[in-house]
Amino acid sequence: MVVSKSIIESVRALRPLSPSAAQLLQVMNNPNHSLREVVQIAQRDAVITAHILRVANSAAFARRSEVSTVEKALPVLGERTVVGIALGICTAHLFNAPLEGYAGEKGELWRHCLRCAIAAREISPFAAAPVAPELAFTGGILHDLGKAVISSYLANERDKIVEGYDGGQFSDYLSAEQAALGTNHAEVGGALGVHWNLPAALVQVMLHHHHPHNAGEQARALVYIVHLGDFIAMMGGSGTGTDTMSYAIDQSYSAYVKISKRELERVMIRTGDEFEQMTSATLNAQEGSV
Amino acid sequence: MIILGVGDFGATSKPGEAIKTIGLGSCVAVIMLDPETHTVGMDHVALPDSSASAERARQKPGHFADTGLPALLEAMKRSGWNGNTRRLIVKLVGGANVMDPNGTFNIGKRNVLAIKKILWQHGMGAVAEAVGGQISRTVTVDVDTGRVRISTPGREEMEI
Repeated sequence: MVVSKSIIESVRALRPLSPSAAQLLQVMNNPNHSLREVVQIAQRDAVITAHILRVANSAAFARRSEVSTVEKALPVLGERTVVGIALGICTAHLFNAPLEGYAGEKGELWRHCLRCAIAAREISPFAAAPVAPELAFTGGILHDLGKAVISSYLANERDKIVEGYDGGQFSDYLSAEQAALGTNHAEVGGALGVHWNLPAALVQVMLHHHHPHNAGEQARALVYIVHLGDFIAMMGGSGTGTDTMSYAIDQSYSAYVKISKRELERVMIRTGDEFEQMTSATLNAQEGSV
Repeated sequence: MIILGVGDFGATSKPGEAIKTIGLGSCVAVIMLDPETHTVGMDHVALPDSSASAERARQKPGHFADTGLPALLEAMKRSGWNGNTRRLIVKLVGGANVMDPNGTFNIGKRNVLAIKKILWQHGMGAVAEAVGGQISRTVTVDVDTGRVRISTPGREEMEI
């Protein structure tokens, strides 16, 4: 299909990931990384440093004394928050794009991805095989970036897609996108991940987060975790517009994530709490950039 | 406009006022209206049962169906309702569902069932509802008209 070809080509025209973001992702992909490495990368980037300090000194993380260095900010914010802020800034041009094709408001994609990231990290201890919580968080941040690319192509098709989905023509919203454009946000996200030279596991997350059974065996547990994090984000009220809740859960998830009803409820409470704390600070950081 | 977040509840009879909650996924908005005093109330219920977290139930009783509904009834009383449950109109919105064969992720459905059980225990029932399905909902209730309006991204607004 001509449309899908031009969408994939548009991914190649996107500016590459900033060196700082690429380095942070590489570091986070190593389960044995040290905090020092994260600090060093953040310190080298003046924009990231400025935003981290602003968030650390914001009301959400109220402190008696001023936080003046990234090193001091890390214990206040936690590593995942620092990385979340840095990634958010480096990809703000995508996260801040209006999601016209999904009738999503500015900032909704970021809120959804942040909530998914927190949920994925909270779910990771329940994985049948060990998955690094920080990698789950990063996967959550990145999983839906294909929507930022595909959104403008969907805009003209939106009403038709919604009507078709509501009328039961499609099993989920991904199939509806596929029928309209010959591709979908997961496929486009996967192409974006390749374009950015992201670690293979994160590309798998972007490509397969709606059908994690298709992921390669090495990354499959991680992709299942982000898949469930995506649902927790939507259930908790952070979707991206017309497609919110309009996906099917992969029925094999219980082979990869062992979680009871009660444990899930507690994950939702913890996710909501941390999301509330992080959202104002990081959204402000987002809005202040690019 | 009073905007309720997750686990918040509130009631009002102030003319021109409205209560709104945004982006209900598996959460359910329990809406109560007293036509006599034009008192309206809403609780944004996130989970069915407060035994999941006693601490959260203390901080935000509205978070759970079992602690939220009594709290909403008290708020309705403070805003003018006389305590006669027969006079109250109840409507439910939200509770979008995840089709999970294991039953773990179907929190929307469990929320709706828990709310209906507690309403029944108080001698009440919902007269209208827009629940379940696989969409998110934003809902507003107006003091002046008692209208309950529901919007979903990309769809026409509806009323129950």
